[in-house]
Amino acid sequence: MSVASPDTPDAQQEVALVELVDRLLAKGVVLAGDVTLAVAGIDLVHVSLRLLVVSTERLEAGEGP
Amino acid sequence: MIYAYGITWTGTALPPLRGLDGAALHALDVGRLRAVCSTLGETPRPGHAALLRHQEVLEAVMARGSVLPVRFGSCFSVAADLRAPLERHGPTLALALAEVAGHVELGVRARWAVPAPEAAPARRGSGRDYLAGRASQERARQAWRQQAQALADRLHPALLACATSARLRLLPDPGTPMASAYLVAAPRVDAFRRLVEDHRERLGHAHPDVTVHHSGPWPPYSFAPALDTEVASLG
Repeated sequence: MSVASPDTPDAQQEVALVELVDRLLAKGVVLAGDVTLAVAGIDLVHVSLRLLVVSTERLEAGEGP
Repeated sequence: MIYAYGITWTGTALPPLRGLDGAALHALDVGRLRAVCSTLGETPRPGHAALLRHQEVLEAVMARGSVLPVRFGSCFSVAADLRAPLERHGPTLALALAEVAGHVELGVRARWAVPAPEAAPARRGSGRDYLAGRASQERARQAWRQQAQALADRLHPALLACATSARLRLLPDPGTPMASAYLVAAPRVDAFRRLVEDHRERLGHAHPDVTVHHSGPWPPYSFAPALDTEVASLG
């Protein structure tokens, strides 16, 4: 996957992440009702997941939570 | 438990990759359909690594054949629980898989430099004040929606002409007037990207407050069929 835009690398990375999370959590075939995520309050899930991903990236970079 | 990444044809070889938590990939075949799966010890946590791995598995499958992504987090206690919906919805899934053959999904997302204001709580006070506040909020929402629609009217039809199919969403969040997905035949991907960039330049003059991003190629997440197992919303 890649994102092309006139923005800074940080903005591009943010868009790439939003595009990825949007697809993984809100799209795709739903084969059963017991999907562990993404059936309720999808916007909230998006927001919390974006925060989680950013937090994880910071932790991986040694910046602390 | 069985974790499902995507659905392809039985003729599609599994990629030489590890899945979530380093688990091996395996196939569950039902008729002509093949679910690409892993057996996991526990439900995956939706962290950065898991999201990327789900995506990487699908990209690798897509490089070998058509694939319909399964929603992230789809777990089944036993193989029979996955086999049953594949049997029940086999014709629908096969049709969708045939429709995405030779195509990829490309995303286009426009963003405003200044997001549309969130709906503020109506002012406390008299009933008249409250109603006036609500009316003002509604007018502001309508104005932003009209701006989003105007932008989509300029961009979307031109892009659709280079695509086989599309999904358009207006104002999915306050900073995003439009986010759309296009199913594009593989040989037209470069032409589609050039088209977006041409329109981005033209839009830049008329809408300097808007940036337009394109992303992909993606597996066709947005073109997966809705099945009657789907729980529309619990919220």
